[in-house]
Amino acid sequence: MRRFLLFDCDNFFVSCERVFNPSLKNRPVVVLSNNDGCVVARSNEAKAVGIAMCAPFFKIADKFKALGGVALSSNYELYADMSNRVMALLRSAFDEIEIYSIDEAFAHSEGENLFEKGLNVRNDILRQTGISVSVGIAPSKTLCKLAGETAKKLSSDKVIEIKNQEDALPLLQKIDINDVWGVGRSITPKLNYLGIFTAAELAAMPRSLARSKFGINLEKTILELNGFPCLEGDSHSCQQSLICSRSFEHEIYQLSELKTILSEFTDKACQRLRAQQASASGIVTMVETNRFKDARFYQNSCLISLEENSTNTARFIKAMNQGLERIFRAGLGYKRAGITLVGITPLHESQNSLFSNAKTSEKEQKLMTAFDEINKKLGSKTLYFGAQASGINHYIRRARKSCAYTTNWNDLLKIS
Amino acid sequence: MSFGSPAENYAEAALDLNRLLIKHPSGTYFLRMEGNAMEKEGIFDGDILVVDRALEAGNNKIIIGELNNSLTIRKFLIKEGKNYLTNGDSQPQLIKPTDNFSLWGVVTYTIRSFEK
Repeated sequence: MRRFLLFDCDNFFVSCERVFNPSLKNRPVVVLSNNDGCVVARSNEAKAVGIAMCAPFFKIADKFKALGGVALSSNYELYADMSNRVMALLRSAFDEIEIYSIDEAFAHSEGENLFEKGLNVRNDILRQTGISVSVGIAPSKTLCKLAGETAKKLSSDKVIEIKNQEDALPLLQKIDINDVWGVGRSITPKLNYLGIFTAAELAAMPRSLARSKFGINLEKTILELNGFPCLEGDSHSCQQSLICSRSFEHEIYQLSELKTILSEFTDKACQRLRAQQASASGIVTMVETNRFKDARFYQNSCLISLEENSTNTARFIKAMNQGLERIFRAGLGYKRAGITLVGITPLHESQNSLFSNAKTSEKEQKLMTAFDEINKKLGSKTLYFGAQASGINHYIRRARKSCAYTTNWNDLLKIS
Repeated sequence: MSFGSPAENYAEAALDLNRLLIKHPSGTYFLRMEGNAMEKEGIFDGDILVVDRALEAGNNKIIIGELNNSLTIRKFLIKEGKNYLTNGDSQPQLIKPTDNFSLWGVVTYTIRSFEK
């Protein structure tokens, strides 16, 4: 029988930092977003002293320091490399894995003794990378998630297997529907009104009622909770949207400067899009002034849809420029801006419009592949689009960043 | 019509230092020696250390150890059931039961440049 194993790294960013700096162990540690804006990762100790996810750093900085806490800037070079190591170990242990995010992956297996296998792989990852991973094993991905979340709370050997519904029930009874994968906050009050509060109650909900009142997705969730897998590969594993946004150290007033920065973000997002063999159908551009400083807080966003799905950076940059021109208000200082690629579809599934020119789109894909290959071989930024500035990193503040221990010869950990 | 190269049948993959020095790619890390603590063992200031986390500690192996939340490079000794750290110079340091010690990795190679 086919089963899923979810491998989820515990407090991943903090765990990466602790591998190379053990003095960060047993104390509150947080990792901050770009420009040291807000908290994006917390150690268990930081959670225990009440630091909230996404807390603006300047608001908690003094209190956190007084508690003996350490705040670090994001070190994406390090996290990406450590993630690659974890995923490579998973790939060598299982025939099929789906990378769900930087610190999470599903493996599929038809094999026996999966608890033992899960534990062995967990121990191997811990030994080779120093990263602790929680493992949830179940007949469906939704149950995997719940098993994994429960495993996270164990102190060692963090593996939980749900073999059948008898195993699942005591677990489901303890879980709030809000914490069930795929149950949105918007429908929680309605479900509560129907007397459904726990995952066990949701699992027992009549499917026909779920479908007629809430739609097919909730019905799928109910099937999954009952051990029938119906979230298959791509449609769920492919990220629904790709976001690239950032807060800036200094407010930006010039349209041209925003264009340059957002072109850079668009390029990054498009590279990620192509890396996951997908195309997108539109781009949302977002700008925001300083909400902590300016009484005239302004925030706006604009979606520009393309005529057909694309992977072409140039098309998305053009659409982003159109969107930005619509929402840009002169005279304001923008503290944050970003783009989101939406309508993401795996390449082999993407539907082209009636008027699409298959040849043009194939040609464009080849061009983009060549573009990515050259940048990969000769270093990123060898080729870039006209609107981007070369080497734009200067405006990102990462004052508390640790070294790129695994990706830069000049940054190796010094040992004595 | 082409007859191919006469050397074709003798083609071998070119020597690859990665394959020689790295047995476990996901578990191998590079560190840099700082100071002269390990000169007796032939490791000098500035050397690049190839460290394999997939290996077990053993008697006389050069290891990176995590001792009371700080990392150090030493030779690992096992004598009469007790574990020690030494740099071949001073008295070996006994790892006490009260110490918080774990193995970080085993040093498998060093790389030294002679054109500094």
